[in-house]
Amino acid sequence: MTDSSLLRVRWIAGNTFVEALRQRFFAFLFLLAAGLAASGMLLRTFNFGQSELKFIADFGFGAMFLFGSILAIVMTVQLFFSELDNRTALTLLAKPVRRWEFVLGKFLGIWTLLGVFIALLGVVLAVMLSIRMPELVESASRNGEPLPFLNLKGLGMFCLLQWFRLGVVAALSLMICSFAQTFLYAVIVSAMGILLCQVQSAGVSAFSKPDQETWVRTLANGVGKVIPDLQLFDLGVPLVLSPAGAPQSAVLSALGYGALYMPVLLFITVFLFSDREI
Amino acid sequence: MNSEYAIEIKGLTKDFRTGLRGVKLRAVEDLTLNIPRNTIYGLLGPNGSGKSTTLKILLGLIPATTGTCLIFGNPAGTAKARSHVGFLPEAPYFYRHLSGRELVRFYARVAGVSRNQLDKQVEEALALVNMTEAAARRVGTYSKGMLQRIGLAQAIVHDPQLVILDEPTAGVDPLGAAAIGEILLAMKKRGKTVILCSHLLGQVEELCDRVAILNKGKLILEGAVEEALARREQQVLTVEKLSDETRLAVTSALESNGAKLVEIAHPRISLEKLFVERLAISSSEKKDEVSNDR
Amino acid sequence: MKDSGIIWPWLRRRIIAVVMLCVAGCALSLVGQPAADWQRTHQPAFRSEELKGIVGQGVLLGMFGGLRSIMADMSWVRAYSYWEKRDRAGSESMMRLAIILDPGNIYFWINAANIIGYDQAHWEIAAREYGGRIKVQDSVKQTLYREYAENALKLLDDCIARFPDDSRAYIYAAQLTRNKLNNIPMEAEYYRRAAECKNRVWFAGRIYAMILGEDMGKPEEALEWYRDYYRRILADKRYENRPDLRQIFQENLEDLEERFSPVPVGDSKK
Repeated sequence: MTDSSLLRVRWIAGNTFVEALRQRFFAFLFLLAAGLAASGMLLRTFNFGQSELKFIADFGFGAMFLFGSILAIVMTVQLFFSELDNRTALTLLAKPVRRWEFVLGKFLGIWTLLGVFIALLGVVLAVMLSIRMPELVESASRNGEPLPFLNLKGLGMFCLLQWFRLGVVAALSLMICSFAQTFLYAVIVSAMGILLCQVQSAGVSAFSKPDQETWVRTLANGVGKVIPDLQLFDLGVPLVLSPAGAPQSAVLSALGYGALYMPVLLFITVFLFSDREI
Repeated sequence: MNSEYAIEIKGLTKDFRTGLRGVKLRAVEDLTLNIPRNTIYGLLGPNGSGKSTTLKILLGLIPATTGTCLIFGNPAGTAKARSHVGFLPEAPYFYRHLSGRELVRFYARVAGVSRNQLDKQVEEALALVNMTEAAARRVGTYSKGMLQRIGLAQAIVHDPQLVILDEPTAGVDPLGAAAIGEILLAMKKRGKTVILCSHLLGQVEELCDRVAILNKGKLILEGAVEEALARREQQVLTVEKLSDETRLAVTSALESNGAKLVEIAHPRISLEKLFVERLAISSSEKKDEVSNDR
Repeated sequence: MKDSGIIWPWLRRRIIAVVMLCVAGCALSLVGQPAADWQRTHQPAFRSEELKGIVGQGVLLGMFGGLRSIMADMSWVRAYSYWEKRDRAGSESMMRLAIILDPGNIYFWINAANIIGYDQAHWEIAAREYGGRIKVQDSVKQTLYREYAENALKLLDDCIARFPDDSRAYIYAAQLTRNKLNNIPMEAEYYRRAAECKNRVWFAGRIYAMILGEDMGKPEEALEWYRDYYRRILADKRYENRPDLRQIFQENLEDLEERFSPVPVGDSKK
């Protein structure tokens, strides 16, 4: 990758990021996500005790996952297809811009946006947990219950994991865009693909039990190897709420998995996109 | 870049796949064409003749089925070949969220204009297309004509050796079209090569040195404009102050020498030329009135 | 005009892409193996019979969509709304759903058991009494209390199997056994396990000794057990620098000796 390639990628990424940021969809989705995360605070009326911290965290993690995934899929498809539909891709690719520079620039712009989304939501969640924590500690001490535990550094690490997860989601969506002919097709197939990636470990475990037929077990194990496993990134509770934390091997494994899957998916995207007729 | 030709196309064929069954549509068939440097070259043809397909293959936007294309000796479709090219597509559409200046800057950087040359080249391009005043506004607020002009600016901002324009004057008023024509002539004077695709045959006739006409994917005519348009078997004499007696004497002299007078008519200028001339006169009259009032 | 030569390059490229995806997936599954192994141990898979139950609840998509914890929390909140209406079937199904979706949250297990063991029998009795128009016999009531308490204890036993180091499940099981089943030996056993588990609570050991000595009529055994328990705690390196613990245990031991053995034994002071 030469310096001029890097510059082109950077300019395309910057333009993509600014274009995405100026869309109302991002702000709308962020407000929804923050609202869902903040609604965990309403649970204090139920008097869950020290478990309330987990409830708040679950709402925050769920908001990050659900709205982050929607943002990753819809934004990726929209920003990619708008270039093709509006023929701005025509003007851009007529410049000395290589297909891989275009794909990488688009991805980095979207991934940066997703990072901003996760960071903002992480701040919202950290504030809520920090507000509630001292109150719950005092209540638990008074009632002789085990004290709740909160690790904000762990929350930072969890946000990093989610950023990597959404990076894989965006890269997968981009790969589907590279051969999809319509916006709707790309969104639907991407959403189903992500669902499959989230489900695969549960499905593999359920269908690879010894009591299942051999062909079912073989198929389940094979599918499990081939489809990305997005559940690896679900380390929120141990990282944030457990004194024991999550083992470093699991965290590094998930980060490495995401860091390697993204370039693989982008490579396949470039491979498919390189002969697409603009 | 030692080739005498800006573009060399040899045996170019493009088939499109329609549907999964592999039925093909032949858009360009065995096209061989050489476009010399430092010319304004017209590429003409009815809708569906293969003009846009040929341009897209040159730019690497679609792959050829068979045949070769070179741009200044470099294989077409490579980034190196495209670095010498500026392109304005038909009915251009740009990023609406950027201002005109931001847009031209973006394309300049992507095309490789260095940071210390960037401001200068951007402002020059904007001035050339008369968009300096509107450059701060968002592209989403531009009219069609303004979009064409900003599109031309992005095509030339990086000072390419070859400029390809697909319907550059579509939706532009005659004054604007004339201004664009002047720009193209100025580019030719600076040694650039221009390929012009247009349905406005009058403008093509006026600007282009050479033309190629395509129909159903095949080249049906290629050559210099003057040669292609001239009727060699006839001559035109333009005369002033022709009285009836002089006319009779001329007719008799021609017939006695074996020539035949076919027609006597008043020469016509084109409507476009008339329009431009009249507007120019009206503008200069208004200026005189204003200066007299002062 | 048809031409198979035009379809093959298109198809070949897509086949190569699928092969690349499969190869990459297999290779990268090795990178993700440590995380996957940890997930498997800490987030056990659903059993097929559990899956069938969940499909009926219409939460399959949300669960599989990676929102297990949040679906569990929402199920629990729904269970509370059924609790307010004294709806046995609704509250129990929602509580069990929360447990299936998020089995790692001990809060769901303990509170579900408490609601089943303490509240549901009364709801059923109230339902049978039709607002006081019918009087349910005491023997029937006792049977119902027992049945619901046993259901709750079964849930707590499952909880203990999942959280063997957490003393809370043992404590709640002991209390339920005392309050609803009046089974002293079983209660004592739960307190003993609470005292012996990894995250023990100190009062559980004292209560076990009290039950053994007073309610079960084995004072010598109680004293012997508590002295041995005290010795084991002192020998545990985790409590080396805990003079407060020593004081608590010493006071407890003196109190037990006073209750069960009026003449203090010399070596209790060691």
